[in-house]
Amino acid sequence: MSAVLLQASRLCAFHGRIAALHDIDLRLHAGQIVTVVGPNGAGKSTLLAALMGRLPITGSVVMNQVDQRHVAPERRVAMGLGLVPEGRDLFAAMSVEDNLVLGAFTWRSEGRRAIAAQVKQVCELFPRLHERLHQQAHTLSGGERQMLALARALMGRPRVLMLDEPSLGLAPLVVRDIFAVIGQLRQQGVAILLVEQNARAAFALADYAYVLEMGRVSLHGPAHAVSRDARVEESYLGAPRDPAACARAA
Amino acid sequence: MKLSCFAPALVAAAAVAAVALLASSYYLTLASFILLYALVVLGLVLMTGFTGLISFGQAAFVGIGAYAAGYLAAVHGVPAWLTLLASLSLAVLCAAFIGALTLSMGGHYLSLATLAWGVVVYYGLGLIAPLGGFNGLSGIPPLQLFGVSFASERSMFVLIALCFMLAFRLMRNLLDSRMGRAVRAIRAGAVLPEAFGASAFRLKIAVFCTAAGLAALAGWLYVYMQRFINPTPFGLHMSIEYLFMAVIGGVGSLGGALAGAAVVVVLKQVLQDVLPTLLGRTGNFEMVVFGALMLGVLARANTGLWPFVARFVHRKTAKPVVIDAPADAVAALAHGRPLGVVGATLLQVDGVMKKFGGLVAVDRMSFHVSTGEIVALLGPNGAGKSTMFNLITGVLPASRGEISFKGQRIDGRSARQIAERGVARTFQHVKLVGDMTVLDNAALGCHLLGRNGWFRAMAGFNGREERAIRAMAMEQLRRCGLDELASMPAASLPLGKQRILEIARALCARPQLLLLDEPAAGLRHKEKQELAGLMKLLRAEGVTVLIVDHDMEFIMNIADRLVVMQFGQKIAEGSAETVRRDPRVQQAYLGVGVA
Amino acid sequence: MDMQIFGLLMQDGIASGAVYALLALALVMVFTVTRIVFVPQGEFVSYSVLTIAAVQQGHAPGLVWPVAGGALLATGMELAERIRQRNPAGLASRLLVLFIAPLAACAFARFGIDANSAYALQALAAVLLVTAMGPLIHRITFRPLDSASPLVLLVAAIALHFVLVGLGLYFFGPEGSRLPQQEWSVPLLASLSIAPQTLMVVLASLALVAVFFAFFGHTLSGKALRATAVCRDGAQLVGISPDRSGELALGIAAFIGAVSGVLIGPVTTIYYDSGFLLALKGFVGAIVGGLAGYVLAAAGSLAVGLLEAFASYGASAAKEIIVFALIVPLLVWRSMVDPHAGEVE
Repeated sequence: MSAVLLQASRLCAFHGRIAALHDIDLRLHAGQIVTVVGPNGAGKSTLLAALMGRLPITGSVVMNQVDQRHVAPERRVAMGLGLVPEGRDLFAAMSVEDNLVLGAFTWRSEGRRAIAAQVKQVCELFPRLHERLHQQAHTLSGGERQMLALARALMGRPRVLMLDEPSLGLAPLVVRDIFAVIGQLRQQGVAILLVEQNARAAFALADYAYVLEMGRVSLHGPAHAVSRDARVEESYLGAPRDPAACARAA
Repeated sequence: MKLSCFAPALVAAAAVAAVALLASSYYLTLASFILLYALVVLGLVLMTGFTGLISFGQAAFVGIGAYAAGYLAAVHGVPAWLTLLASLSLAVLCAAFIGALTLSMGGHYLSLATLAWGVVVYYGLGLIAPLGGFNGLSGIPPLQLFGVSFASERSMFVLIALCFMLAFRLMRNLLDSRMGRAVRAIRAGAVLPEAFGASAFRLKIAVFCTAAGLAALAGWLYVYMQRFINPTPFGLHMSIEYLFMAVIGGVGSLGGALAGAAVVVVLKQVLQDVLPTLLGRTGNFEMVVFGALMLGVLARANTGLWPFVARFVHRKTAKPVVIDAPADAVAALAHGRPLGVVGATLLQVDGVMKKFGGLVAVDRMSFHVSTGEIVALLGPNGAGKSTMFNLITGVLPASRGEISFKGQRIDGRSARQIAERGVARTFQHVKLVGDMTVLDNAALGCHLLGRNGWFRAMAGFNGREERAIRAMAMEQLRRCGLDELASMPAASLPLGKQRILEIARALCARPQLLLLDEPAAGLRHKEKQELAGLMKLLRAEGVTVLIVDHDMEFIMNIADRLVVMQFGQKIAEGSAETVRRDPRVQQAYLGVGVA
Repeated sequence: MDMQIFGLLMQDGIASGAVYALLALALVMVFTVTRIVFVPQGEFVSYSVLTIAAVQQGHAPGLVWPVAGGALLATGMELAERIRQRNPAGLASRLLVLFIAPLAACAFARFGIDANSAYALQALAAVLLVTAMGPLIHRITFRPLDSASPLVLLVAAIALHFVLVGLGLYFFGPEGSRLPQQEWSVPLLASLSIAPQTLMVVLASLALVAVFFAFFGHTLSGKALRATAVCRDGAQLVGISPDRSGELALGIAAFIGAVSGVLIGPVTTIYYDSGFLLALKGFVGAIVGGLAGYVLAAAGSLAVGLLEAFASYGASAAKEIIVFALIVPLLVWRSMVDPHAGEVE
C-alpha cells in the first residue's frame, strides 16, 4: 500500500460554537482517489475547510507526517496541499494567464521559465484555457472557470488535491473531461479527495468512499462496495436508470 | 409584570441618586460628560451597529443643537423648552437634507459626506460672527424648565441622567418594534427590507435624523451645563472620538454606548492625572498610551466591551416566548389580504428578455402561474432561473417583455411595490438578521401588515399591534416547526432550519404568491419531506407557490406543473410525467449519448 | 487675477495635488489589500520631513527610538508565536523584515549621516527609516485583528494615529519645519515661470506612479498583492499569506508616504500633526475613485489640490469649507455614475 499522505483522526470542526463535524477518521494514500458523498448540509465542504486549516478543530490532521495543527492554510499549500473550492475563488479581474502564474506562487523561486513551462504543461490538459490565456477570468463560462480553478491548483504541484463538487453546474460532457484529468492525476501519484453530490460519477471514479451524514461518517469502504450498499443506492443513486436521479446530478 | 423587569431601571435610578447626592464636583462633571457623550453615541450605535451606516459628523449635530440653543437663549432670551424645540428641529432638518443627498450612496460615500459635512459645520460655526466666532458665545442663562431651575451642577446631572435614560428607553422601544426590525434588516442587504415592503432609503433617513436628534439633545444639555460654547468640541476629532466610543463599547448593543463613553472618558482622565507624575512632565504621553490601550482592547475584544458586561446583566437562555394577543387584533392584521379565486391566472410572464451587456440571460420566456398551483422553474446551473426570479420580484428590470400579477403590470416596478401587491419571497443565499431572534426575523415578514410608524414605536404606543404581529409570527413558526427555537438568535440555526425560517417569514406577509428560491438546498431528506408537506398544506389553503430549484425528486413530488429552462429559454412545460419523458429535458440534464 | 497669479496658483495646486494623489494611491492600495482605511498615512509624510529636518539641524533623529522599539516588539511577538506553534519555517525572512532591516535603517539614520551629509543621503536615510515602519505596524497592530470587521479596523487605524501623533510630538517637538528648496536654475523653466520644485514634484510623482504600476502589473509579488485584493480566499489557496501581503502593502504605503514628505517638505511647513489633514485630502481623492480605482483617485486628488490653491487665494479663511463643501456634489455625481461603488461588504 502506498504512503499515507493525509490523515485525519477524531476530527471535529466548529462553525462558531456549533460542531459541524464529529469524530471524523479519514485517510488518503498516494495515487488514490477517495470520495466523500452525502446530502447537502452534511458537512462535506466543512470537512475540506477543516483539512485546509480554515476552521477551528479538535483532533488531528497530519500531512506528510507533519502535524498540521498550527500550520496556516497558505503554508499547507506550500507543503503540497491543493484545494479547488466550490466557489472556485478565482482572481476574476485578472487574466487566465495571471491566475495560472499565481498558482505557482509557492515555488516561484524556480524562476519565470520554469513557471512558463508548467503553464504550458497544464494548458495541454485544458486546451480551452490555452485559447483564452489573455482573457479576464470573469469572462469565462462556468465550465471554463472550473477548469481554470483546477488548472490553477495543479500549478501548485500538489501532492494532495481536494476538490469540492467539481461537477456542480456543469454539462455532463465537461464533467467527463474533468474527471478524466482527475484520473490522470491519480496515475501520477497524487492523492485525491473528491467531494461530490454526483454520487454515481464519483463512485465510478473513486477507489475508496466515505458517506458523510449530519457531520459524521456513516459508512466507508472500497467505492464499489459502498455504492452497492442498499441505503446508499436508495438515497444517492436512486432507482437504477432513473432520469430523475440523473437529473439530480445536474 | 415581574420585578425582574424593573431591576435594571431601579439599579440605574439608585446609581443616579447616589452620584447626585454624594459625588464631589469633580466626579459630577465627569459623570455628566460620560452621560452626554453616551447620548450622542446612542445615536451612533443605532446608525452603525444596527443599520450599518458610519458617520463622521455627529459632533457637528451636537454643535448645531448647542449653538441653536445657546444663541437663542443668550442673545434673544428664548425660554429653554423653545430652544430645545429649535435645537432638535434644526438638527433633524439638516440631517434630513444631508441624508436625502447622500443616503442613497453606499457606505464609503456616506462616511465621506458626513466627514465633509462635519468639517464644514465646524469651520462655519467659527465664521458666523453673531455666534461669537472662534472665541465663543457666553452669557447663556441657566436652565429653567416649567419653573424648576437647573442652575446647580447636581440638578443638571440629574436632568442629563434622566434624558439619557429616556433616550435609551425610546431606542429600546424602537428596536423592538416593526420599524426596528426593518431597520435591522438593512444590514442583511437593502434587498431584504425592500422585499417586505420597507423602503431602505426612508429607514436610513429616519435613523440618521434620530441620531442627529439625540446629538442635538446632548448639545442642548451641554450648553446649559457649560453656559458657554465655542466651536472646538464640535470638530472632526470629536466625531472620531464618538465613533471610537461606539466601537470600544460595542456597536452591537445600546449598552455599548454607555460602556464606551465611560471607558474612554475615565481612561483619558486617569491618564491625564496619573501619567505626568509617573513619567515626569516632559511629554504628553496620554495620547500614546490611550491609543495603545485602545488597540489592546480591540485586539482582545473586537466586538467591544459591552458583551462582557452583558453576560452578567442578561442571562441568554432560551426563554419560552409568551404570546398573548387578542384574537381580533390578529384577525385585523390579516384582514384585507384575500387569497384569490382558484384557477384564475395570477402571474403572467410574456416574452421576457434580460440582457447583461452582450449576454442574454433570459430569452423570450413565457409562462403563467394560476391561483392555487405549485409551479416549479427548473433547469441546470446557468439556465437563467435565478435571473428570471429576480425579474419577477423586481430586483432586476427586464430588458423586454411583460410580467403581470393579478392582471396588473409589475415589470419595471420596484421590489417594494411588488411586495405590497401580495408577493413574498425567500432568498437563494439566506438573508436573515443573525443577531435577531428567530421570532423577530419571522415578524419582519409582517411589516406590511402593521401600521405603527417611527414615533409610535419609540413612544411604545404600539403594544397592541406588536402583540398581534408576534402572535402571527409565532403561528407561522409553529406551522413550519420552528416554534421551539423562537427566542434563539437566527445565526445559531443550521442552514436547513434557516431556510425554513425564511419561508416562515415569507408566510407572515400573508402573500397570495409565494416565491421560493432553492428552498430545498441544504435540507436533509426528512426536512425535505416536511417542506413538501408544508407546500401541500399551503396549496390546500389557496396559496400559490412558484419554486426555483435543482432537486428534481423534491420538485416532482409536489409541483403541479414544471417549466424547464435552459440557456435562458423555455424548453419544456407540463406535468412531472410529461417533462420527465421530454427528450429535450433528458438531453439538457444528461447530455448526448449517456444512458 | 492675472495670468501670472493664475499660473502660480495652478502650479501650487498641481504640486500639492500630486502629493495628495500619491497618498490617495497608497490609501486605495492598502484598503483593497487589507480592508483597512489607513488613517495614519499622513504620519509617514510628517515623520519623513521632520526626520530630515532634525538631521539638518544637527540633532540625532528621534524616530530611531520608536522604530527600534517597534522592531524589538514585533520580533518578540513573532518569535513567541513561532515558539507556541513550533513552526520554524521561513523564520529567516521574517527576521530580515522585522528585525534586521529596521535596525539597519536605524543605524544608518543615526550613525551614517549628519548635518553635513549630502541632502540626498539624508533624504534616503529618512525614507528607509519610515519605510521600515510599515511592516512593523502591520505585525504589531493589525495582525492581531486579522478577522475583525472593516469598522473595527478603521477604529484601530484611528487609535494607531493617536499613538503615532503622540510619539511624533514627543520625538520631534511642537515646532514645524520646512525643508530647504533645492536650487537649480533652469532658464527654460524660469521663462515659463515654472518653479523647479513644482516640476520635480510632478516628475517624481509620475515616476513613482510608473514604478507602482510596473510593480503591480508585471512582478509576481505585485500580482500576488493584487490577487489578495481581488480574492483573499483565492490568494490563500495559492499559498499567498494575507499577513505577508498586508505587511508588504503597508511597507509600500510607508515608502510612498516618506517620498511624499520629501516632495512636499520644501513647499509647506510640516508639524508633528500635519499628517492628518494631508491624509484627509488624499482620502477625499481616494473616495472619488470609489476606493477602488487608481486613475480616478489620482484625478480626484489633483482636483482637491487645485481647488485648495484657488480657494486659499480667494478666501483663505473659508478655504477648508469650500473644499469640503464641494465634496458632496462630487459624491452625488460619483454615486449616480456608479451606484454600487461606495458599498461596504
